[in-house]
Amino acid sequence: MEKTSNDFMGMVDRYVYDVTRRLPKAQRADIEQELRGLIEDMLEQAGPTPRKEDVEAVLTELGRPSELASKYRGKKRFLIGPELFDTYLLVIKIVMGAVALGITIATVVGVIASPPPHFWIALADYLSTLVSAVVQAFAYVTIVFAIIERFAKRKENWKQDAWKPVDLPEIPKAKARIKPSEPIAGIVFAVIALMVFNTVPHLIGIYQFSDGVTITPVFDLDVLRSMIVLIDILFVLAIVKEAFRLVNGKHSIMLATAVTIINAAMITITIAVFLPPAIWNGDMIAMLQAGSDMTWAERVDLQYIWSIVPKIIVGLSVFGYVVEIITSWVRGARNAITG
Amino acid sequence: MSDNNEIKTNLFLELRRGTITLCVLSQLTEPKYGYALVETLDEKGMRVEPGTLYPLLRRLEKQGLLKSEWETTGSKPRKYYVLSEMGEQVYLALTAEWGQMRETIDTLTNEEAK
Repeated sequence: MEKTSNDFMGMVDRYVYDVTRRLPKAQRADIEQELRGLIEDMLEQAGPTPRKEDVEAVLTELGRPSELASKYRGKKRFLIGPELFDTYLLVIKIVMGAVALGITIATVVGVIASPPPHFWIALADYLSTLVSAVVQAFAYVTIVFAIIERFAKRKENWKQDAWKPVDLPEIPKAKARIKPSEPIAGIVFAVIALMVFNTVPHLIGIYQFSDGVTITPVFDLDVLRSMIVLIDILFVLAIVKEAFRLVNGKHSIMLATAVTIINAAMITITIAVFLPPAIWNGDMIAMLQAGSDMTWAERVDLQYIWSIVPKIIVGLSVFGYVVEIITSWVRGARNAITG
Repeated sequence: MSDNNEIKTNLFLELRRGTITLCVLSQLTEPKYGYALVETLDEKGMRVEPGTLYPLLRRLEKQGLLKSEWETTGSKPRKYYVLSEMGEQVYLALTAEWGQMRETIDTLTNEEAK
């Protein structure tokens, strides 16, 4: 069989391929030709007709293909670089913890509402939901950070002027400092709310504990589902706002500006989604009293109260957002003046 | 003991790393292809792995210190590298810096020897 020379020369082909496949397309052909020339030169050094051992020795000297390729590429490659890694770890812990807590709370509420017939099946359900939700949270956070690494950081390098000690941030006064626990709690709450609204909106309701539990949903589930994108945006905005607080760590004019922009968006969405009566469960009162013995007059009263509840809730939230904007400006300005 | 050796090897490598560029630039006033450069450097006592030198040549070319050209008239095609104008200037600056550094280090290390 003619297997002699071609067989181990094939090894050279495999080596060159294994190096160049890891390189940018534009450079591949050129590097391949140069690398082949190099290997031939090195083989010639060993003798006029290279043997298998010579080929092996030469390739061993050139080293692991992945290492040679990375020398050609030059710069190190990251999904998430060292500058971002600490923040990434912090955020991923918070988000995964919040997701796990949210699933657990939703499950406990669900179990109380309608006790499952088979304990072990319910437990398995819970665990599999928990695992898949935590993995998803991990994936989303990682994707977001990878995007930041790719795009945002490059921009930052761009504008980076020479660093001067004057640029050092002031150590915030105790009053201006934001305790990390507050934004973390905010993020946890928003993540839980986000999950409840997306996965078990029927559990948001009024619970009646007479012979078993009946849950009367507060929302009209069909309308809620049609608006879910807006609601998700609302919670994501809340998370972004808290993340801003967490990263900045102190009240400032910049933070107040961010809070103002985000809260303005949140006010708009809150009014658009929750003020029209459609999203609220119109049959709420009828469903509530199905089992109870209320008089007709009480029923009318309740119906009236229920019709103004959305206005009250929206009004209170808008008030809350506005108060938050004002306090963030007051604190930011105070810090800017005294700091 | 082997730890000690590993530390030493790493320090040697670190010390050499910065000087390889200088050595490479010094030999490229005339066009040379990669493997010829490996051999010249080796003859003169500077052993550089081809796996280190080839990527380095490319990087220096990308930085504008070297120019390259494929030579296809010979028995096999070869890529020849030579100093660019900017490469010549940088090489001069590097040699000057190296001279000063050598003096400083000589002074420092001789001090120690006493």
